[in-house]
Amino acid sequence: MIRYFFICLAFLIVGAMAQQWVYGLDFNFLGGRVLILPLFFFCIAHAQRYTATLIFALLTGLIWDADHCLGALNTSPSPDIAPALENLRFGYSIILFGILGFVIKLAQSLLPIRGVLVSTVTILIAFYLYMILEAVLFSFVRGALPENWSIFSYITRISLLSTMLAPVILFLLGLVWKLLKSNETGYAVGLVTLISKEPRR
Amino acid sequence: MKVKRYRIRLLILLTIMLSGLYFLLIRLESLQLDQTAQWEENVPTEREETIRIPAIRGEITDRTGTVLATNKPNYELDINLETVKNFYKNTWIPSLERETLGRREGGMLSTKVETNIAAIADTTITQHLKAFGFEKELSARALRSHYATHKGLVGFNYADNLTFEEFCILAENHSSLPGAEVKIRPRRNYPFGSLGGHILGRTKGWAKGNIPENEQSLFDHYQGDSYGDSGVEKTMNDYLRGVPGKRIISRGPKGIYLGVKEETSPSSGANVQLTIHAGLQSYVERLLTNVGRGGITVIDVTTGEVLALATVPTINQNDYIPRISQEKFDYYRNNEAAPFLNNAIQQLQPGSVYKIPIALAAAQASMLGYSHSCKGYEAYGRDNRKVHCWLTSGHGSLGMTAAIQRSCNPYFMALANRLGSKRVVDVFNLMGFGQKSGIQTTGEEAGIVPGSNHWKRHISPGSSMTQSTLANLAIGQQDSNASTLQVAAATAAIANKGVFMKPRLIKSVKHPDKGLILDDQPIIKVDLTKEGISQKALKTIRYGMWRAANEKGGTASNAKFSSSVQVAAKTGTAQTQEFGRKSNNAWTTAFAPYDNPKYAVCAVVIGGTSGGKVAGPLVSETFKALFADKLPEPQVMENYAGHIKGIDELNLISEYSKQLEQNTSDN
Repeated sequence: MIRYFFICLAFLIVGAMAQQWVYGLDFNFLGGRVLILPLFFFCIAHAQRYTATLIFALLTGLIWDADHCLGALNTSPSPDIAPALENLRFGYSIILFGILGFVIKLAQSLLPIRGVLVSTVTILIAFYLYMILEAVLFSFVRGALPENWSIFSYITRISLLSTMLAPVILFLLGLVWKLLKSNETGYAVGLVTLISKEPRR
Repeated sequence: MKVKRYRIRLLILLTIMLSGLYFLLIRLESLQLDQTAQWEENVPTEREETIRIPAIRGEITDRTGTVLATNKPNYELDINLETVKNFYKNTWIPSLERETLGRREGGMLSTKVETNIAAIADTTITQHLKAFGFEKELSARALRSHYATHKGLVGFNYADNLTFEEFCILAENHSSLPGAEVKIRPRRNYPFGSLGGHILGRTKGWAKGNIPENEQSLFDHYQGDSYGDSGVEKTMNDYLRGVPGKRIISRGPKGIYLGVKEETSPSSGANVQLTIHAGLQSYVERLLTNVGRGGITVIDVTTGEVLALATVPTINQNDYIPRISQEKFDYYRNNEAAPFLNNAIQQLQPGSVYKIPIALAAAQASMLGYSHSCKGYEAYGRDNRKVHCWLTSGHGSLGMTAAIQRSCNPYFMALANRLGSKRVVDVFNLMGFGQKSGIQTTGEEAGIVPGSNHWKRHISPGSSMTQSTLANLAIGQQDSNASTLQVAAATAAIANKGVFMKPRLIKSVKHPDKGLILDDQPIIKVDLTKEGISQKALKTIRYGMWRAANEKGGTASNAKFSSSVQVAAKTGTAQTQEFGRKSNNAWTTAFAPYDNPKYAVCAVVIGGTSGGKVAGPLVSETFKALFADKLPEPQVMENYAGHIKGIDELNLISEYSKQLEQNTSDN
């Protein structure tokens, strides 16, 4: 089991690297962005236990905040003017990832069906929830509400674009589990099929 | 059964979590949407802040348009303390705060906790800057004060006078230096080094907190202009300084910067054109490097324009921009030759050049025909104290022109006493002695005329004009003091047929947008012919001066320079005391050409033992340049420290001497 944990960790690091690579691309599909790192986390949350999911939430949150909260303030926009907008405090996304990872685990445990398709839909909902919570927190901290329709449309585009890659990652995670532990049960077992009615532990 | 119980627990947990998220969303939605109106009423509305942008200073040029004072780009490094603080807040875990003592409340000092910006700046940026080679000890107090006043709206100046290479290093590494901003700002520069340093003066950078009362209410964040601290920079500061720009920014209810609402660029100040000829000025300054201390004034007799106003030792005003180093400061301060004094306009004992106003007083009293027998001295007072002639054997019987030619002391002493102190002092006042000429630079001294109201009140209170005092005034001794500018202006008045033109240093002031602000207009100070001095009398005095330069026995023969252009001159050698020993001031004042005067030149050498032998050659060499085919070209001047040694004689061979010699031999 510990080997699978480290393989998932390697997956997460690959996700973080890919995220940096995506920034460098001049990619703007319908004004949306692909959030690779959160996607990897949501996928890993489907393949790991509750405790491991929380550890991954901590790691993902750390990387995510380091990338966004610290880098954003390096330079001021104008020689005479202080940096523009307030940002969320470092660590906020650790909590968000923790909550959403836990919700994913609960949903996974309670649902009578499993499989890549079910998990993908769960991830789409998780993305939605994550983005909405983040947007509401941002608007609360900054004291300025964005235009409602435009922000929901933006969240929809990001969630759909990011979730498109979920089946591949989920399938890979399931495949690795199968190769490593062919005789054992676990959360990742169901990820090799589209829909499965048998819950596996 | 067991699985069912688990499922219920998990369901309850999921319900609790989703309910928590739901309530969080509902609460935030309620705060931000439902209660918008209520919160908007409570929060302060959008506000504006006005930032002053310093103006660009105008240039100073000579009469030909050669730029003598300008602005050159200066690379500076500013630190935006607000950016530094925000960077720190989001990066470093330890909170850096400091406690300060606040106001007394009920007899107890209250304490206030504030951001320790000095410690934050040190941790966040200055360490990085040191790694790039920009090491500097920052004053914590200055940082705190700047941050409290300006936050992030005005950058804290960390380093200035950066080289272009340093500027590039900072620009390249800008992203790794939070809050660091490299800027280009104009800085005052005097491209010809020490040329005319005393006339031009210098600017001083704006001192924090120095905000004029009329601008205090106009700006929230003030960045002042540099201002004229001395010389023309000071006297013409109102024209040179320009109009500042203004940037109005708007901030949201939480103090968030929203953007620039309005911006007005600063406009340049007016350009001041001097009457000085930079080439002549540099030539005369180079001439003066042959003596330790001295000054020369050159005036256009018909307009009163000052063409050169040179003094040694010199000052290179660039040494003071932006601030003087200790080494340079010591160099100037420890110099016994007193480089801060402008020897062209400071008051010095004038010696026999004061005989010219006495001659004018005689002309006014129709006493030019006065003759006197010089026995080598005049005796005054109960104890018959003797005041000697420079020729102790005596000049014998003399008339006015011969007395001027030979500079006979007893003649003028006796004449002054015959005229009476009132008439003499009145003519001195008429000729501008004992009062500032009003020339537009700093450092001018009024001079002293014994017997004047100023003398009676401030210099020698309780004294009265005795025969001896009046005799000493007639020969420019004791309390008598005058500047080369005053003597040159008086000489010019005699040369200009009695029309005394007010000496002027400013030719015009032009603004880039508004055009001509101050026009070049000669001003007549006084017409001597309307004051009872006839043209015939003036001609007699001029002739006396001509004899001094051109006839055998004249004291000013060294002022001559050419057989084709004749000079009229008067010398003076004042006996002084300095550094506890006897010394002299050597003077020569002259005008040329004799028939149709154009220029008046007055030279003084402190420590020169003979007016004719020391100051005369300086005047002669100046005339050579003035009457050459082409006036000299301006040169970048090195600082000259001068000295306090005495000078007995000067033998000058300038480039113009050689040229003149060549022309004479060709003819």
